[in-house]
Amino acid sequence: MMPDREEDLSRYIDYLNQERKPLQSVEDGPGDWQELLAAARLAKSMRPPVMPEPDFPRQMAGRLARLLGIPGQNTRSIWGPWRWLGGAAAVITIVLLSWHVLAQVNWPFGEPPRVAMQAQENLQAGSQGEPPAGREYDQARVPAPAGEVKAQGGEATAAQGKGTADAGTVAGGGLARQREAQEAAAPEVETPAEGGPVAGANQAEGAALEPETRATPSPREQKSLGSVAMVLPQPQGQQAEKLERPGTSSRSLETKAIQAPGLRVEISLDRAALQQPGRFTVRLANTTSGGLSLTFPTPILVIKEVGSGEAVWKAALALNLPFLLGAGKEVAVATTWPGPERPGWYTASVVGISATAIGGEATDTVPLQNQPMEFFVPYPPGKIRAAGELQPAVRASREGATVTVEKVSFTPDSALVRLAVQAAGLNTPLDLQVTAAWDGGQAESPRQVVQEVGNGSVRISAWFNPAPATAGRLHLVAVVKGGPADIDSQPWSLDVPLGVEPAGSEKPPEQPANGSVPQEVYGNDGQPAPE
Amino acid sequence: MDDLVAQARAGNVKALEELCLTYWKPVYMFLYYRVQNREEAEELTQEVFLRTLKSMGGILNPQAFQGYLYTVARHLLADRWRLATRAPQELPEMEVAAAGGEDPEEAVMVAERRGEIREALDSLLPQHQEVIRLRLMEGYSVKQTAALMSRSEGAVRSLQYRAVSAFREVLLARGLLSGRGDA
Repeated sequence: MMPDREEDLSRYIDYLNQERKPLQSVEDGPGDWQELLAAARLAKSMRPPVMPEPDFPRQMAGRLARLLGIPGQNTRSIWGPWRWLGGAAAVITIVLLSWHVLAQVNWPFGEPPRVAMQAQENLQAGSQGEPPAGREYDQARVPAPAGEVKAQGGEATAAQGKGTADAGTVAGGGLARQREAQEAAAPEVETPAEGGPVAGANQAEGAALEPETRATPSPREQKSLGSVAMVLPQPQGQQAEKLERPGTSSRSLETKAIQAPGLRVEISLDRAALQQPGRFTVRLANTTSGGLSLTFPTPILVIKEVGSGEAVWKAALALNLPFLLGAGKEVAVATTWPGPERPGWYTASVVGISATAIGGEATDTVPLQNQPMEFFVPYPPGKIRAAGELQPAVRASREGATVTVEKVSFTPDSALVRLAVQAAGLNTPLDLQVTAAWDGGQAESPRQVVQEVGNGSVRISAWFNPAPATAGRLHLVAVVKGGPADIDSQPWSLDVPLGVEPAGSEKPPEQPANGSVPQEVYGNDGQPAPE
Repeated sequence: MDDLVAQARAGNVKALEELCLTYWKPVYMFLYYRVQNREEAEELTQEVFLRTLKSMGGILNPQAFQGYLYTVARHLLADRWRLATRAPQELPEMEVAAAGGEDPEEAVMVAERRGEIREALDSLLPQHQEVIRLRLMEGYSVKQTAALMSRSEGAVRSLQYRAVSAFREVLLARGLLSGRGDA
């Protein structure tokens, strides 16, 4: 009985670890078994949740459409307008061409109809790439030239950005009202858009625009699509064609258009002294040219101890969700941190941010620029080994692979361990986990790992919290979780005697990715490290 | 919002997409917190939207729609537990806040609850803490855990069973796990 339960619990944990739905046969059982599984789930809940693939909500919408019997769900909804536009364009083209042909005909009984001649003139003008200025676009994300983008009416906002403009508007409905109310009430800090002024909704039109873009659609034209219109400066040359597609969904161009702008999260701390409170300020900046809606769940500021990976403090950001952040604006939220219990490296990050771009009828997910902030709480003097370097050359060999501890060096804010992994054909970064424990203490993870690949070896530099001043032994465990098949996946365990602390002056902390002529350098995420 | 729901129910794919894009995440988080695996959380999220859209009439405001989603999610989970012969479970309101973020103060309470769970883990024997940490919090396989702990795989399975059993006892004693298996 017991071994079966042990086995079943183990299988259940495996399912959870693989993010798969457990088999019902494993889950079935009496109340105490349910409690056991619930305890396992609670333990796993300490890990961050695993999110679905980015396109999950859209795929879900498609499946729901099928299940609800909504017709036409196989065609993405954004192509709806295109379908109608295509049809309309085809009809118009046929009509115009017909007239064109008719115009060529040598009419035996007099002049061709006047309307036919006018159609021909229009066609020729269009082919010369000089579309009439002041064209009106609604719900379109289009490439914008370097010039200023003007907004018309009371709703639309636009900013000069990195070559894109999001001309989304919300037609009628609750979101527009919500935006009005929230923009009026929100504690926004206005920031100028990058590279130029924000064109406000009430800015005098025309003054900053190129001559050919000054023409303004009539009020009737502005309202022709039932929502706020925007006047875009006409682009040069080939861009004209894209701009001649009113009604383009924002999603049709989203891949290029929203790469750079997004929601930028910046965290700052006014101090990082030991056992002293500090004040964190989180700024959320909308760098897109359209409104962003911050929705549930409430973002939470999480302070994690780098070595243990444990979250030591959390605070919910006091945002009254859903919260609308206007284009080019930012909101700052501050909170007081009671201070750390012990020194070392920490990260501050904001989790749970959910933002959607308001782009007319479409709502797009928004790229997040949300890097954790790393900060160091200094150790009291004399508590750490703050200087010196060892070259222990401790190594372990197994099944054609060798792991060598090449160097251990100490600075006031880090202990750097440099390992070399050698194996035949080794030419890619390793999916590697490495921990360090000083004198049999708690194993800790590094705050940064850099891999240098070349000549059949991978050199790994791992930065840990500083070593205790009294540390006499370093225990390293490295696990290659993936990568070349000839590297054993069993843990590599290495003991490094540290000896007495060598005398010597303190060296400045060695910077990551500054190794000895690596061919390629990779960061924690396995991606090439930036210069 | 009422327009969106009505439009989605009337067959407007765009409205349906917008509803999904706006509300999938809190629902998913709510469910994931309970089932602790992505596959089941995704399935349940879709089912919640399906049941909601099938059963819901006009919606007066967004909060009502989101609240309705949570209600359906809660009932759906209860159904699932019963189907799996599991004890029915009720969600503490605090967890609703955790998933939906309706109130920052409640979200902080959730963080505190995590602290309590952490304390419960810390009260276990070191080897029990170690095996739970490696298997459940870091996601190592039995084989890797065995290697890291210098034990056989069979010994790790026995140890993890004893460790999770001890954890269950501590959770029950501290009121963090009801006698019906709530988590």
